[in-house]
Amino acid sequence: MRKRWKLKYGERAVEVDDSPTSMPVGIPGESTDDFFEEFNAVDPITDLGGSFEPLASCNVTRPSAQEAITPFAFPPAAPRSLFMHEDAQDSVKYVDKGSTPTMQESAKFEKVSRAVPPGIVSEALRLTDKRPLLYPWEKGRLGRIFGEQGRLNLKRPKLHPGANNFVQVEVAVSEGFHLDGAVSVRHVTKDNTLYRSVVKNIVGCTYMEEREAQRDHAIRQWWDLLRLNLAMSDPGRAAVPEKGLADVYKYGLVWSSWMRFLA
Amino acid sequence: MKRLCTIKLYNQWLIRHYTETWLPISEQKVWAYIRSLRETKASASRAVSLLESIRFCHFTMRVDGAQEVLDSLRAKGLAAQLFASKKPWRPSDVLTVNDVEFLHWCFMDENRCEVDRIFVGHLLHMLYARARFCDLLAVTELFMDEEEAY
Repeated sequence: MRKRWKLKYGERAVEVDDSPTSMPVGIPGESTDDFFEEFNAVDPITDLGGSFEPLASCNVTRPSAQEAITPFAFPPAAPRSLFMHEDAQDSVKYVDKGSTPTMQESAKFEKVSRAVPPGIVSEALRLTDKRPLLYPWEKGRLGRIFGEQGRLNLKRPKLHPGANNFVQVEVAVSEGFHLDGAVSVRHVTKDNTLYRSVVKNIVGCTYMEEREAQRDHAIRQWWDLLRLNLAMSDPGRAAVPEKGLADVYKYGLVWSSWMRFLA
Repeated sequence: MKRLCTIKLYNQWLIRHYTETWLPISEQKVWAYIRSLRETKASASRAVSLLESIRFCHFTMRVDGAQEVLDSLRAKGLAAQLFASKKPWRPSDVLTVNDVEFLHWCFMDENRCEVDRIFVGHLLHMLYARARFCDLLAVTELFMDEEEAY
């Protein structure tokens, strides 16, 4: 039968087909063969006596030399049905070793099989639970009993040095339930001046200058509100006859008439 | 600046909802604004601050419509209701006699830094003059009563 297969398909010219195919595309991890082998089930296709195989020229799964020599090596293969065993014997794949273009074509075949949208891959990675699988005795109440973490969380008194405290206390609990304290003192040079620890920022002007700047800003902001309708307030009513609407809208603020209202 | 900011917020609300400016002041619009403050759960003093600002506008700039708002009982009532929900005022503890004596002791202590002593004197000046901090900052002239005339 091997000779017939070789005569029929062995010398067949290799044709590259880059066009999209309707053949099923194998995605790693989604092979149905793995599924049937895992549960010792019978593949319905092989059970019915059929087989689905790619062309010999595209087959890149070569059995290793060790597998070819010792087919019944330890550990033994998973038990399979009698019919499946015979069918596996019948469907031995023939691979021409001298056909170097096979590898190139296989690369192209893999490229076609990876034609999965990249969004699906990233989404699958995102939805994968990356937390390690914990046994029941590694989490929860049992985890506290059998794990390294103790059931009691001893609070360690600790005193950190601060602005008014220059002593640091470290207390550690040993395995023999002995408390060993260590006191460390931070040496600081005591400054007799208090204002240096209080004063953070100083405005670069006097208080009166700062107030004057704030007042000018507030007056301009008020004028921006009042000139929305000049006839509705006394500053607006006084500014219009004094300077005229053109000057009012040109300069924005008429100081002589405006300042006496806020003086 | 406080009154200015309050009026600016009211003006922005009017432009957003009625496409109108705040002049002349309308009692209906102020009432709607205070109601919106209550619905949006604004701070308790927003409505009272607005009425204070309108009072300032009436007595300093004679803005039209301000008197009508100040006479509105419903506006004043709702503002008072909102202000009643304000958290109680919790000022710092009052100075005790021991505190004041400690300040005097610090002021007279020559071992202390002179800057600290000057500030303590400033605090005592505020205390006895019943003045705020900014009041004394506005002092421009200093008179030393060496003859103890006063």
